[in-house]
Amino acid sequence: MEKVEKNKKSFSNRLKSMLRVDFYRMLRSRLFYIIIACALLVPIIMTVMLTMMDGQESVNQQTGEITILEGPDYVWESIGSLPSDKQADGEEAAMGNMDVMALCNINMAFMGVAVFVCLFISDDFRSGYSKNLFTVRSKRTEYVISKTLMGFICGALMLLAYFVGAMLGGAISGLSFELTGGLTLMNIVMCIIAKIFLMLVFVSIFVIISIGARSKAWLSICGSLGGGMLLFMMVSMITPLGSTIANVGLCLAGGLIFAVGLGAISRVVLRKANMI
Amino acid sequence: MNAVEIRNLSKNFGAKQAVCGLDMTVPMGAIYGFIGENGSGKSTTEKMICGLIPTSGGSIALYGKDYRDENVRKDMGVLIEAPGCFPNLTVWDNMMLQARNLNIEEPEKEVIKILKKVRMEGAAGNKYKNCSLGMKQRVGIAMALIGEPTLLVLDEPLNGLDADGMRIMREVFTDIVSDGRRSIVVSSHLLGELQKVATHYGIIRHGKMIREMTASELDQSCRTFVALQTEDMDRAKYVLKGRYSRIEEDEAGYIRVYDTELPENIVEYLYENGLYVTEIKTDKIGLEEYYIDLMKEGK
Amino acid sequence: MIDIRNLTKTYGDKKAVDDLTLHIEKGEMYAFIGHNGAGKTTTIKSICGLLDFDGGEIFVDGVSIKDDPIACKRKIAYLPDNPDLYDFMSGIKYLNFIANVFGVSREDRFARIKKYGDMFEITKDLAEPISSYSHGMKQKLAIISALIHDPKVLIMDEPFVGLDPKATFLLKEEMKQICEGGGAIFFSTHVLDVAEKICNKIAIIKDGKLIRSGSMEEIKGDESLESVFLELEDINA
Repeated sequence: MEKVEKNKKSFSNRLKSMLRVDFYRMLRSRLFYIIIACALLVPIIMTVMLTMMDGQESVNQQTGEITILEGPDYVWESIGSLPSDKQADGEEAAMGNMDVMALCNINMAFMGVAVFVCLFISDDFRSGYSKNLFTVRSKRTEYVISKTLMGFICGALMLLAYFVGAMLGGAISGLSFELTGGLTLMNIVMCIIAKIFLMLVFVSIFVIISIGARSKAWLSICGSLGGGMLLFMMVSMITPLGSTIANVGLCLAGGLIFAVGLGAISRVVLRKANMI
Repeated sequence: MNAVEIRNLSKNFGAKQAVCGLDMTVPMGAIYGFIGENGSGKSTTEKMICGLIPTSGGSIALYGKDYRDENVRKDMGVLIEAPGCFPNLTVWDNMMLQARNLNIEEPEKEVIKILKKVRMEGAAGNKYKNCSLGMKQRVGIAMALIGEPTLLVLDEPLNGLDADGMRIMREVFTDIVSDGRRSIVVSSHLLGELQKVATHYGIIRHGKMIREMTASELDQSCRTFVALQTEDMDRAKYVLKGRYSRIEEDEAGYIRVYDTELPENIVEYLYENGLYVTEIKTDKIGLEEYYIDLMKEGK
Repeated sequence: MIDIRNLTKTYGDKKAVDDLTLHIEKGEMYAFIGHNGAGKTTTIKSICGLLDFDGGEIFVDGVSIKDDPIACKRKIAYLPDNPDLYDFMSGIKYLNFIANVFGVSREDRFARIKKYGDMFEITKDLAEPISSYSHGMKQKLAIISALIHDPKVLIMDEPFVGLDPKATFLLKEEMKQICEGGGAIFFSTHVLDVAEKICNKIAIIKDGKLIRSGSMEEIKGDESLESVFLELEDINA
């Protein structure tokens, strides 16, 4: 009988095989493509819609309060808040302005990736594949690393897709590509890179919650979105449009600390829990 | 060295003791039939061997190494409860996943080989969720066979298979252990089927191993009997009870006289009482009846 | 008791059952065997009035299943291959529900539930919701629900799947008693040595067609049922 060649179980080989499994799955997962497509299309749709609705008034019947919808002027508003250049140009905020772009900009990707990570991990347990997976690997480290890496890649791709979508949406809507208030292209690049590294923080949190919940996808999604919302507020602060190398360094350090720290805890949880 | 050596294994789920002080020995090259009622601790034991649930105490050694050793675990295959496959992936994709999981050099070649072994080549393109129960079961076994594992742990692998499927699996099992090193732990409620292939047995009850034996030891322990039919079965039973201690009627409608000497003596005795024997044969009880008797003893 | 004449059932272009004729008499334990997809479940569901069929007739004690399905179903107990039970009910509630459907008296149902519950050792679990039952327990409950109205005809699709050896043994004993009491049993199984031991009649189906039927001795002779069956599969391939 021809002997099947299997590589000896060193850490790097184990990690390599786990990554191959997860990549294979991710590239065959409809969810992955849907999420990236949403990340591309949502900014286009939002930008076009809000540009069309710019300046529209709506009146609250009960209080009489007038709300003016303020659409974007600059394409960069999908990425973050501009410096106070708008006020400098004399555009006084009317009472009750609604800056929708501040609410649903590129940072939505941090929430969107939660859905991917939670379902990607819970599927291992719900399908029962965890039996085949963990019977042949008693060490759990590579599982945590691989899942974190998949989530990170998905999150990074979402951020990039959103960026592309925002540029396309801005071009279609005729928004200005001007960099105001002392912003440079390097700031934008640093901002995106910082957000990508910050993604590692969020993904690590989603991974540990998903591993805790295992097959209960609803529990991990609710927990992840709830937990993510708490940090969500900080994203704009930590990665503003005017980001510099300092922001990048901070996000990278934070990402690595969270990935290693929470990853170690995830590993312990996996070792003690039932895989079936 | 044994394929599996378990000493004093225990597992608690809260207050409930699913396994308590279990000892088990599976020699190399064995097909070990693991038998027990539902809730006896059989599946729990298998899950612990595979490292899928933590133990509460005791030791498990696989091929002389601790069961947590990475180099031992990479050579295992498992099918516990339902097959572990992604429903929306095809049979081919599910098997390729497992081949990659095992870091096999030429995964496509290995998957094709295993699909041929379980006669599933034609179904490779089907999504797993669209397969029938029998096909799903074959896929589950195929997943366990990838990478030529040294130790297979199979829980009810024959469920859902038709007669042809069961025959194929018997051939697969026998082929696997033919090298004298690879071993299979298989649990099944189909004791008749198990008896056709098993070389060793372990009977578990209430979380403890109550008997372990080889197939030849079982054969010796199984009681012999003479099975006969006469034209007046009721009277024959009455007459035979007067002389022999254990008389029963079996499910095929024969009267069984256990632990007796020669059939001719029974025929003569019945003839003396005016009864003619229309059919007579000597046989042994099978695994199923041995097991039922053992469970009754335990009560 | 059950008379199947030229039964035909088509799904689109495919004939799932093709001109099948079979008679099941009192006292007969009839095994129905065939490979997966041969048409066993389709035949069984047609007998029980769960599937409409395109050709032929089925009579239960002389009554056509098409003309008076309710009268036919009253005499039959059916055990499907997968126990589909109401998960939200407790075991005892489900049994009472089935007993109500068949109009079983209070005394009779109480006695039978006690008898079979003790036999299969699930009496203590009957108060629990069915959602908490294992597959084996669900199968046992389904068996009890089939036996609760003391049926004269028992039609079963793979009844032994999921049962532990003790329960299998007990079910076989019960099946024997039903036949000895003048009832008839028709069941499909892949476990050929069980069929070989307990059945006196056998029917083999392949690709919707009945390729053999008759007494066990006639069909298998001195060989094992498995070798006869596998030989037939190869010949007709």
